[in-house]
Amino acid sequence: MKTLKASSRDTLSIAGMIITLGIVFGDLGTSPLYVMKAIVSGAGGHIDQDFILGALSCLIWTLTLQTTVKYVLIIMRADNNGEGGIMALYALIRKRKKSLYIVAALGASALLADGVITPSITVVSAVEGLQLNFPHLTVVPIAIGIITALFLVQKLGTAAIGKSFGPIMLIWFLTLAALGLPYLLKMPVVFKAFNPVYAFKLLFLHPGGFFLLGAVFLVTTGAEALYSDLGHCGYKNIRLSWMFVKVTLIINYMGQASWV
Amino acid sequence: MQSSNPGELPNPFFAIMPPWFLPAGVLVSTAAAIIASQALISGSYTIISEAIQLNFWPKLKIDYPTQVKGQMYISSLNWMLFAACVAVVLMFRTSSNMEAAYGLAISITMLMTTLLMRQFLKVVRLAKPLVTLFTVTYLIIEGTFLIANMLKFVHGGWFTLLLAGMIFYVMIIWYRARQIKNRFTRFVTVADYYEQLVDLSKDVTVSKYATNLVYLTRADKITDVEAKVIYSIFSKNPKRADTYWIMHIDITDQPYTMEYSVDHLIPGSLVRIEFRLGFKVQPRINLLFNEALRELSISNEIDLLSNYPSLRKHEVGADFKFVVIHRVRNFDFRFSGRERFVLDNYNVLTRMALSNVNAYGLDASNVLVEEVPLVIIGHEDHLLKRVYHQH
Repeated sequence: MKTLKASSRDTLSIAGMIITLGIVFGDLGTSPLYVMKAIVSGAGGHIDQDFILGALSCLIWTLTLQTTVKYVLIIMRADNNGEGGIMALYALIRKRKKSLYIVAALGASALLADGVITPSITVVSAVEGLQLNFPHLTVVPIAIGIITALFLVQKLGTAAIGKSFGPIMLIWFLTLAALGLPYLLKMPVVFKAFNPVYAFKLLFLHPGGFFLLGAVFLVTTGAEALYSDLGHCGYKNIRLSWMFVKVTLIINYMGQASWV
Repeated sequence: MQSSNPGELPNPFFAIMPPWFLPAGVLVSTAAAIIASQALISGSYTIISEAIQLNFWPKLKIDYPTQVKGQMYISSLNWMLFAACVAVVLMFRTSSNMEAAYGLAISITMLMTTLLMRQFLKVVRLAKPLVTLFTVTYLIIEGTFLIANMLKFVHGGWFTLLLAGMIFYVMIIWYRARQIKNRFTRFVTVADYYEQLVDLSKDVTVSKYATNLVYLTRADKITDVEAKVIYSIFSKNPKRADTYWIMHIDITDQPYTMEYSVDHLIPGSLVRIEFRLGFKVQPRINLLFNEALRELSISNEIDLLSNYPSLRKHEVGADFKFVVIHRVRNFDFRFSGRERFVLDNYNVLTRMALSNVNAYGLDASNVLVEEVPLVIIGHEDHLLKRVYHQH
């Protein structure tokens, strides 16, 4: 993966931000592939306007409180000479208390373990899109083929193809916004979701609503990776490009919500 | 809004695409999915390589396929990840099943990050109420997510927790074993042995082992060295050398430190060299040591030419020999049950790890690997009582 040169890491530039898109927003950016689907299927068929507004509200506020406030605004300040991630954070404070090694080891192992689902879930979700046109397609062999190829090329290094990651992700995020926008404009009622009351109503009043949080949480699983990649891109680049990414994500989620 | 259709649920993400766009949509989704996966793979390399440096993980072989900083390839990890990813696809088969399992482990990670961050905020002396506000807010939010995610355990979350448990086990065993070993490390003051060292160095009745003999030490204090090093020099096959080197590698709390310092403890006979390396720097000691030697030679602090007159005449470089000492658990010492458990598991793990020789990039033909008992029992222990025959 490409790393910005130290000089360009701390300064802002459009190019720097596009490269950042390709490095740090993979997991966060691909969540729209499966989050809304998980919520809808978790509803068990009782979908009405309040439900969908509540779910959308949960998504928006989770993105805000967890990704924006905790990770982008607070945790990212804990950089170890520009490096981020749970291990770099641990290195900063390991002398304070001996027992912290357990906390760091637990966090890192859980992160690595859930990490093995990331390639599988994103690739499988993407390939499943083909089933809308070809209903009899078997997803599993195709997905395994893609994953195998991905792991095979690791040995060669990914610097060469890494250059295309940023522009592809830029197209991806613009696509997200373009897809969501028409639905959103047709049904402006979804803007109500910015009101957190809908989220609380869903969680506490809707039967089983609380456990929808399991699906909602998927929207922020990439936040920890965002922090780990701090060293590749620098704080300013991540902060500014996150604003762009968040807008496209929310537009897309709103569009999906309108469709539902 | 559309009425719900609980039977067949198309993915709303693809459903909002106009039909003509669908093929392109799938294509760009797949590209984004691959990029996201790539980020995950690189991220895992990063975590493991940092874990190695911070003493949480057995040393593994790390390759650098390109010149880009931070770009690395860890073959063993790559194939373990690959196996796990394929297992996930084969086990869960559909994205809905994966969604049902995904997120449980990461909510644990986020809670742990919050706990570590609390310590960091204290270090930077943020006002106490703000630290508490941060900690309580996020313990509540993430705790709530964790509880909601618990439901995922039965839907496949057990798989990631099992995996997390295995990784955690390796990390803890590795870390604890290091601590136990450190606890049994006896340091001695090098200065006590200066005279003995100089004497041995001059004693021609002992055949010369090497011109330069290098020991790795974990002693942080410049005045100290492990008893095992002294044991190796004098007791376990006396090793005569012209110059003894004590090398210490200090992993700093910063990512990219690359410094070294040199102390001539006994000019010409005993040199201590210390490398201070960041936790993201790969300790390619052979390379770094050679660079330091060249500099020392230029500043005339050491002589890089061979001390043998015949070789010196032809400007042959001096020879260096490294001694790496492994301390093995001895069975004559009573460790507690817990320590035995940790050490025995550690020994199993060391088989999958890279030896110090390879990890430090030492030239294996120049390295002597010695084994000494972990605990050298002192003479104060009286286990036997001598009895005298009655006449």
